[in-house]
Amino acid sequence: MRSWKNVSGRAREVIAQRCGTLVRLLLCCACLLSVPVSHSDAQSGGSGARQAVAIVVNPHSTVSNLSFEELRRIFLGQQQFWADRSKITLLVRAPVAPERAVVLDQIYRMDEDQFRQYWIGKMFRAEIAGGPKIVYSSDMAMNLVGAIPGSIAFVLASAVTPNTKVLRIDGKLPSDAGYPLK
Amino acid sequence: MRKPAWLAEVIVQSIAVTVSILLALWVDQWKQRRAARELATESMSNFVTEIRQNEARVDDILLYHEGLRSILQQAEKSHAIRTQAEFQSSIGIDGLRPPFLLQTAWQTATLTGALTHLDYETVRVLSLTYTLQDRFREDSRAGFQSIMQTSNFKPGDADLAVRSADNYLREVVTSENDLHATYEQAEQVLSSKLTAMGVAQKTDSAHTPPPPQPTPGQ
Repeated sequence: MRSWKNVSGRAREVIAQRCGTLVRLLLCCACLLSVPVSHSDAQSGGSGARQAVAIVVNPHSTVSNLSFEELRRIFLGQQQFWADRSKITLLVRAPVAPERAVVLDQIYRMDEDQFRQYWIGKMFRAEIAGGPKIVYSSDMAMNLVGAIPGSIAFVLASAVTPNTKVLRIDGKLPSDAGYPLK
Repeated sequence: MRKPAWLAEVIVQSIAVTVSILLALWVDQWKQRRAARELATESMSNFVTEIRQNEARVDDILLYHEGLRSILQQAEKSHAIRTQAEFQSSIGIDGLRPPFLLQTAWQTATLTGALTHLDYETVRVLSLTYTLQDRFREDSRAGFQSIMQTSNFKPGDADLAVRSADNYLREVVTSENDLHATYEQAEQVLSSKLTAMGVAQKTDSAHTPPPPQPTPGQ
């Protein structure tokens, strides 16, 4: 084995360059591996794909389709009655849940603190009688939606049961391409 | 005997001073009555606003409590809830809380003395309304605390907690319906008195459904 002293100067330069390249390559790999997983990926267990969120209503509701803007108005408490003048009861999943993350991101466009402050402000200005009602599981959400006339809730599309009424949003169901709540 | 000249002057001045004092007292009384009337009007308007807000809060929570009751009744029949965690997941404890009802108008009227300027019937109606509200709050608080007692959850069996929550909600829903009826009556009495006093009232559009849309062709 040749010792470092016996290696010619030119050879030393080549070896040093290749070592440097190798070190830079290793550093790049280390940086890529340390990139944090996105929030939505964390919510969906790191699968990289967000699950669709279905909007469900009471089975006796006459509404079958809402535009995204109408849905937003309802969820923001700006519309408190359906067209048939029945009261809208908004059911919101408690933290932490993947469907809540999607709704906060896509519909409310707020984080948790902003969401809380938003409803406190509306109550303080007497614009609403009460905030959204909290549900603690998909089963609770669907049971309550079935029991409360005029209620609306959201669950993961995979949790929808056969006798639950799912709304179309902009004409699309959760399984359709281009569904806005994913 | 002729009366001295100064006597007439004294009499005139005495009368003038007396009339001035009486006039000042009358003006002062008029100002106090006007201030009292304004305080009473403002107080009654505040009561109407607060009663409407409380009525809206009761209406808002009533449907939700009735929905929770139906879930509890199903759970009681099926014995589906066995642990505290399942109870929390199926019912949740926060939803069982009664609505937060305002009483700032009553406290303000008491502290400012506005109640002394209201007529007997109005004070009677308000006193009844806020007494019922206080009783609802006290009864709800006591019932709520009894639901989540550890003794209600036996290993693998939460029937006692479910039954306790169902009984509690039954009482709460009944009380909420009673409160709603009381608020309606109180609002009618106060609104008619304000109308009789010539006070314009704001309509509470935030908590009332919009008017029905005319159908095409009408």
